[in-house]
Amino acid sequence: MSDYALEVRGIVKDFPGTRALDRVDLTLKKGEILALVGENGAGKSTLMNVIDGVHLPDEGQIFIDGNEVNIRNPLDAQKYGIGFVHQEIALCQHVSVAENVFMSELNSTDRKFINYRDLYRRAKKALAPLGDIDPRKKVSELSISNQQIVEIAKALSLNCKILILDEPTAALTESETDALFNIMEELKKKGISMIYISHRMAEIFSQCDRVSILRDGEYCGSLNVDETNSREVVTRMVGREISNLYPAKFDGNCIEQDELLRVEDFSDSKRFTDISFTLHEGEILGLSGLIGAGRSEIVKAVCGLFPKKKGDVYFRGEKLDIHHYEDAINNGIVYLSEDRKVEGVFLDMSIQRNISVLDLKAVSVNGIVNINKEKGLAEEYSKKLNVKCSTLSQNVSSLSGGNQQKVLISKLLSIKPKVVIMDEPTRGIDVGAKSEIHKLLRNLTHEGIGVIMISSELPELIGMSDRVLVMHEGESCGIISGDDINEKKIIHMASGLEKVGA
Amino acid sequence: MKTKFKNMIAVLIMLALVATFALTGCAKEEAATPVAVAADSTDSPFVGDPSETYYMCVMVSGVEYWFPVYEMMKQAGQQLGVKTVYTGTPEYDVNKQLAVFEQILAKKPAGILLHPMNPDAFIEPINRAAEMGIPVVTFAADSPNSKRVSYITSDNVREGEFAADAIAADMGEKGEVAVLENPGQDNHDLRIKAFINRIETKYPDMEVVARAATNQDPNKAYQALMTIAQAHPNLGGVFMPEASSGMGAAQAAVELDTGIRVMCCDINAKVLDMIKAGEFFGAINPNQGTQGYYGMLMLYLAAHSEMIDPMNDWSQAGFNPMGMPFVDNGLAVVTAENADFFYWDKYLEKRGTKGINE
Amino acid sequence: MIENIKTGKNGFIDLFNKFRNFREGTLILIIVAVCVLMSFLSPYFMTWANWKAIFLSFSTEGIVVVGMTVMLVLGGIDLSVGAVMCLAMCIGGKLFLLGVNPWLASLIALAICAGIGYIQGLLVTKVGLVHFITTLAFMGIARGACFVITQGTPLSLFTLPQSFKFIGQGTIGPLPFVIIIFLVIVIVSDYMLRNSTVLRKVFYSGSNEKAAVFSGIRVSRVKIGVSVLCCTLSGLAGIIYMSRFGASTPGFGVGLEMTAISAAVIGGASLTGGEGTVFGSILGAALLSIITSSLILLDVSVYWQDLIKGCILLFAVSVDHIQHMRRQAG
Repeated sequence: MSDYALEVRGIVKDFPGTRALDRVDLTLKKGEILALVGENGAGKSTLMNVIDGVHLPDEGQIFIDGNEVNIRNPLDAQKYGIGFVHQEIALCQHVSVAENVFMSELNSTDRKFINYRDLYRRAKKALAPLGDIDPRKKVSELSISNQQIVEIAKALSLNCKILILDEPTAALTESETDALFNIMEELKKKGISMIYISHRMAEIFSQCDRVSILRDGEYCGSLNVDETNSREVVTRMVGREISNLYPAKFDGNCIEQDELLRVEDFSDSKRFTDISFTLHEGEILGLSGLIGAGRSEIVKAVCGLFPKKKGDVYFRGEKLDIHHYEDAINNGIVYLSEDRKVEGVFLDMSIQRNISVLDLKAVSVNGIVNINKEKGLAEEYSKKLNVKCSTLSQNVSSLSGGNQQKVLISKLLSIKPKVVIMDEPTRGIDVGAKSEIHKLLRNLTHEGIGVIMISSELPELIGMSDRVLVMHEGESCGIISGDDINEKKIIHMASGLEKVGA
Repeated sequence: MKTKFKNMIAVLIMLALVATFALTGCAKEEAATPVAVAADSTDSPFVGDPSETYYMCVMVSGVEYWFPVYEMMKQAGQQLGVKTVYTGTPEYDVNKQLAVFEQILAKKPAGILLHPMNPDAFIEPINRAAEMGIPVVTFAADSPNSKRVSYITSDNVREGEFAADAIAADMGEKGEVAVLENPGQDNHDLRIKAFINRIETKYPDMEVVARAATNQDPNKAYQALMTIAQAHPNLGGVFMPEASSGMGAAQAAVELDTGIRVMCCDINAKVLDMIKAGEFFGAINPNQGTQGYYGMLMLYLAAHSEMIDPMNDWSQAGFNPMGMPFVDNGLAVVTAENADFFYWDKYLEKRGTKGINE
Repeated sequence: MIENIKTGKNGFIDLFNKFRNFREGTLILIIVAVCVLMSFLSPYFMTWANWKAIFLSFSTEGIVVVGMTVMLVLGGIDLSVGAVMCLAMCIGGKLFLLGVNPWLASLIALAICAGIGYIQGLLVTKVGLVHFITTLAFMGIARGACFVITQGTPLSLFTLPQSFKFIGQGTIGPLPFVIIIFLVIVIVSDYMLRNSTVLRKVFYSGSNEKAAVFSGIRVSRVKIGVSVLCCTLSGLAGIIYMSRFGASTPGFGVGLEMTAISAAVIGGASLTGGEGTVFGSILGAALLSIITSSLILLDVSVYWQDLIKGCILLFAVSVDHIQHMRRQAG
C-alpha cells in the first residue's frame, strides 16, 4: 500500500494555442487536507478536471492507492472514489435535496419507481453529520452554504475517498465557513483526503496540512503549512514579491473631508430600516454584516436598483431624485454587482461593448455609436486596469474571472464616477488581481472619489476601509473607524450584540 | 387578508358569469324562427315540427363560401316549418370540427348538413349519428365510407373540365397552360387532376407546362406565376382550384401583361371585381345555394323516412330508405357578363335577411 | 495589440479569409452557389424578370422580417406578425370602403398596430408574461378581428385611387416601388441595428437582461419599444399588400411568423437573444425565396417541393452554424 491516496505524475494537457498543464506533479497523502493554490489561469481547474476525467491528459500518469489508473470520464472517477464539489453549485434546483444527493444512484438504477420514503430516510442519514437539512426540501429553497453541504453529501454518498473542494467558501459567510471547516475536520478524521482550492490565505493556514502551488501551468512545489507563511506562498504563486497586502489607508481624518454622498433614513418594508450614512471625498466606507443583513439591498436602493419606501439621497448637499439606475449613473454614482455572471457581464458580447454600455451617449454622435470612440474608451480603461486580452473585440466569455471583473470595473470608471459602490469586488478572483483591485480602489480615492465597499471577507474589509458601517438584520449598528475596525468588534456588532452611537 | 381573498373570488365569479353571458349572447345559435304554418296543412308530411332543429356544420366558419349555402338551407327550413342553425369552427382544424360535431349530436338535432374536413375522421361520428337516428348529409366534401344518407356537391371533376374547356376555347385549343395547386385538400386536388386530364386528352395541341404549390397564399401565387412566366414566355393560361391564389396570380398576370388567362374555382368580391375589369379571365362557381336547399330537403326527407316504404331491404338492413347517394347540384362559369349576380353583399341586400346570423 | 491586421502577400486569399470571417459570409456563399448552379440548370434564372419576381416576393415579407430580427435580438419572439399584418390590411380596407381617405385609413391602421405592440409590451413588462404566449394570444385576437371586420369575405378595394395603388404596384424606372421601400427600410434598419445607440440597447437587453438593468438600461422601455416596432412594421407590410393586391383578405399571412422566424434564424439570429443582423435575416428570406423560385423553374413536382426545400434549408443552416462555431473557436 502506498502512503498516497492520489498521485499524479508529469501531467501535460494542451489546448489549442496554449499548454494548460506542463508536466505537473501532485501528491495527496491519506487523510490530509492539501491546499491547491495558483492564480486564475494557473491550471488548477484544468488539473482537477483531469483528475475528475472531464479532460483527458495528453501525457502523464495518475495513481490511486499506488495503482496506476486510467480515468476516462467522471463516472470512472466516481468508481475510483473521487468526489468533486464544484465552485459553482451544480445541483438540480427544482427537485428535492434527497434526489440530488442520490442523483447518480437514481440515474443508474434499474428500478422503475422511486421509493421516496427510503430515499428520504437514507438522505437524512447521509446529511446528519453535515448539518440539519430537510431532505424533502427543494434545493432552491436552501441557502448557498446548505447547497454546498448537499454537494458534499452528494460526493460522500458515492463512498469517495478523495474529495476535491473547488473554492467552497467563495459564497459563504464567516460562520458558514466555520461550519464547513468543522465538517472538513470530521471527514479528515474518517480518513478522507481532500484537495482544497482557495484564494484565501487565512483559510489555508488554519485548515490545511500542506499547500501545493501552480503557476502558469507548472508545478511550483509543495510546502508544509507549519513551515511557511502566506508571503512565501503568494510569492511563489505570483512569481514575484507582492509587497504589501493592502495599500495605505487615508492619511488623517476623512470625516473632515467634504461630504460627497449623504443617505438619510432609508427604509423599505423589510430588508432595511432607517439607514443613514455619509460618504466623504477620498474615503473607503466598508459595509459589513452577515448575509441577509441588507448590505446589498441598501446600496442597490441608493442606486435605484431596489425599491425603497422612504429616504433621501444628497450629493454634495443637493438632494437627488433617483428613480432608476440611469439617474444614479447620470449623477456619477455607479454600482458593481456581487453576481458577476448574472448581473454583471454580457458574456457573448465584446469587451469593448461591455465597457461602453453605461454611457453610450458618450461614445455616440447623433445617436450613432462611433466605433472609434468606443474603442478608444475601452482601450483607455482596459489599459488602465491591465485587462489581459488579445483584442478588445473578443467576447468577455473568453476571459478569466479576474479579467471579467476588471472589465466590469473599467465599465464603471469609464463614466468618470464620483461615487463607486462595489459589492464583493474581489470574490472568486486570484491574489494577483485582488491586490491590483485593492490598489486601484485606493488610487480612486486619491482622485477624490468616494468608495463604498461591501465584502464578506473580513480581512479585506478591515484592511481596506477607512470607516465601516455594520448592519444587523436590516438595521445599522453604527459606524466604526480607526482601531475600532477589528475582527472581534465587527463580528460582535454584526451579530447584534453591540451598537455604537451614531 | 382573508376578506381581500374573498373579494377576489367574488370578482372572479362575476367575471366568469359575465363571460358566459357574453359568450352565449354572441353565439350564433339564434335559430331562424319557423314561419307560421297554416292550420289546415298540419296533416301534410311536408310540414315539420317547429321544434325540429337542423344544423349546418363547417370548418373555417368565417369563410363566405358557406353563407349562400346556409341562406338557402334556411329558406328550405322556413318553407318546411323547421329551425335551422349555422355553426362550425373558425379554424382549419379537423379535431376542432369533430368537437363541434359532437356538441351538435349532444343537442339531439333532427339532422346535420356537414362539410367534413377529412373523409375518414368523420366515419365513426357520422355512423354513431345514424345509429341515434340523426341523418347526416354531406356537401361539397364527402365521407364516402360512412353512413351519411346523401352527398351533394357540384362535381369537382366537371369544374376542372369546364375550366379547361373555357381556357382552351379562348386560346384556340392550342398553347401552354399551367396550374397552381393546394396539394392535400381533396376537392382542390380533384379539380386540378380533372383540369390536367382534360387538357391532355381533349386538346392535343395544348400542354400543361408547369405546376406549383401555392397553398392558398396570394403572395406565393404571385411569385409562382411570375417565375413560371419566365420559363414559359408563351404561357396562355393558368388555373387554380381556389380564389385566394387567384388574387395573387391575377396581379402577376396584370404586371406581366402577356395575356395570361387566370381562372380559378370559387369567387369573392375581389375576384368578381377583377373579372369585371377584364383582369381575370373567369371563375367556376358551384351553385352553393342549391347545395344548401337540396341538403335541407334531403335531411328533412331522411328524418321523416316513415313517409315512404320502398320495395327494398331497408328495414332489414337498417339503412335510411330516403338516402340519395349523390346529388350533383351544378355549377356556373362566371365571366364579365354575369359577374354582377355573384356578389354576396348584393345578394344579401336583395334577399333582405341577416345571412348566417339567423 | 488591439487590431492585428495582417498584410499578407496574397491579397486575394486575405480578402477571401476576411470574407469568410464576416458573419454573413457563409450565407452569401451559399446563395451564390445556388445561383451559379441554377444559371446552368435554367436559362431563365438569371433574367431580370425572374429576379424582379424573387425580389418582389420577399420584399414585403422582408419588412416583417426586419421587425422579427430586432425582436429575436431582444430575446423575444413575435408570433402575431402575420395576423397583425392582416389586421392592418383589413382595417385599412374597411375604413376605405367606409369612405375614409386611403392614406388616412392606412395611418389609422398603422396606429392601431403600434397600439397592439404597445399593449403586448406592457403585458410582457408589467404583467410579466412571456413574449411567446402574449403574441400567441394576439395572433388569435388580431386574426379574429380580421374576420369580424371583413365578415369572412375578402373586401374588394377595386376603387383605390391610382396614387395609393402606386405604393404596391407602381414603378420608378425599372424598379417596382415596393422594392425601393424595402431596400430603404433594410438599409436604414441594418445600419441602425449595427450602429445606433438606441438599438444597441436591444443587444444588451437580449444578451443578459439583468446585466442590462445593472448597466442603467431601462429594459422595460426597450422591450415595449421593440414590440411597437415589430407590430408597426408588420402593419406597414399589411398596408403595402393592401395596395398591391387591392383587397383585404381575412386569411392573409397565415404562417408568416414561421417564415419570418426561419429567415432570421437562417441569417444568424439566435432564438435566445443577443445575436442577429437585418442583413443576415434578409439574406435568409432571399434564400428561401430563391429556392422556391428555382424549384418552380426546374418543374420539380409539387409533391416534392416542400421536402426538397426543407432539406436544402437544413443543409444551409448546418453549414452556416458549423462555420460560425469554427470562427468562434478559432
